[in-house]
Amino acid sequence: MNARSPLRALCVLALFAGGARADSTASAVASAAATETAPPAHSRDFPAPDLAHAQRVAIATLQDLGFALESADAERGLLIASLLDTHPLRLAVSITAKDESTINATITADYAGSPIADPNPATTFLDAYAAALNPLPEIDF
Amino acid sequence: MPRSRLLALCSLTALALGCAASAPPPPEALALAPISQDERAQQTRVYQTEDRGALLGACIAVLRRHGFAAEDQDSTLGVIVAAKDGTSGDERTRLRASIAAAPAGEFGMETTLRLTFQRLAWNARGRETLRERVREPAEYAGFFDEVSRELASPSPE
Repeated sequence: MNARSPLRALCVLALFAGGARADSTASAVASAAATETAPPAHSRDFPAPDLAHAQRVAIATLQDLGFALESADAERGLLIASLLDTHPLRLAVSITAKDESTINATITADYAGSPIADPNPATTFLDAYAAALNPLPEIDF
Repeated sequence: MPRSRLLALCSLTALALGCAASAPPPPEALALAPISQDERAQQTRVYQTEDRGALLGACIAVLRRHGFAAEDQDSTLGVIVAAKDGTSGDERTRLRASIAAAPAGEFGMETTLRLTFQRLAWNARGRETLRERVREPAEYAGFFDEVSRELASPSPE
């Protein structure tokens, strides 16, 4: 190895790191449903026999948390939504049937196209979703 | 400047850009909070129809009339996402409308329409410079009223 090799290696590494942003932005949505290269996913099962209803509740939950829908695909059970204000936080929400009476909700999040590991947005969504799927009964006094 | 120094300078610049891109988001960005009941009410209108297809058709007609183009649509979920692109100085701007229609009422004889308008802008380098919801109640009320009129007397295609 000559003296310039480390420098060239640094160049390649640095250019790759610098260029990663554009790649991650472009592929964030496309890779949301993937498993091997996806950002950390947060998943929870819910008792819900009606998948269509469960997907509509997920849409309403996103809207109630201040998100705007970017895309929806009932067949794949995939919803993409980003915050309405200020921060480019985006959630990819997958609502699929696990069996006849159970659905699975899986969430991934990215910020400006970069996957985030912080569980807070996904947990907040899942808690709100659980409450919306199974609202407390109204009590008459 | 010697070639090796120039290469090193370029490398460090690129590395810095890469590091900046992966900087963690601010904590407040990850603390989600529900919108207010008033805002929710502003975004929502209930229509006395179970014909969700006709309602979504009316929404599309109104959006087109105002220069929006469809970005995404799923009739099963009753979702329409549409945008109107423009420019402001050197910036590229977008007004995005997201609509979701869902059955409502005791026997699903009504349909709830939920609408959000959002303004976005990007500078010449493609960096997002604006992200805000449209808060003016008149924008929402005006849209819902137009949808009502469109439902009552659909405009010819």
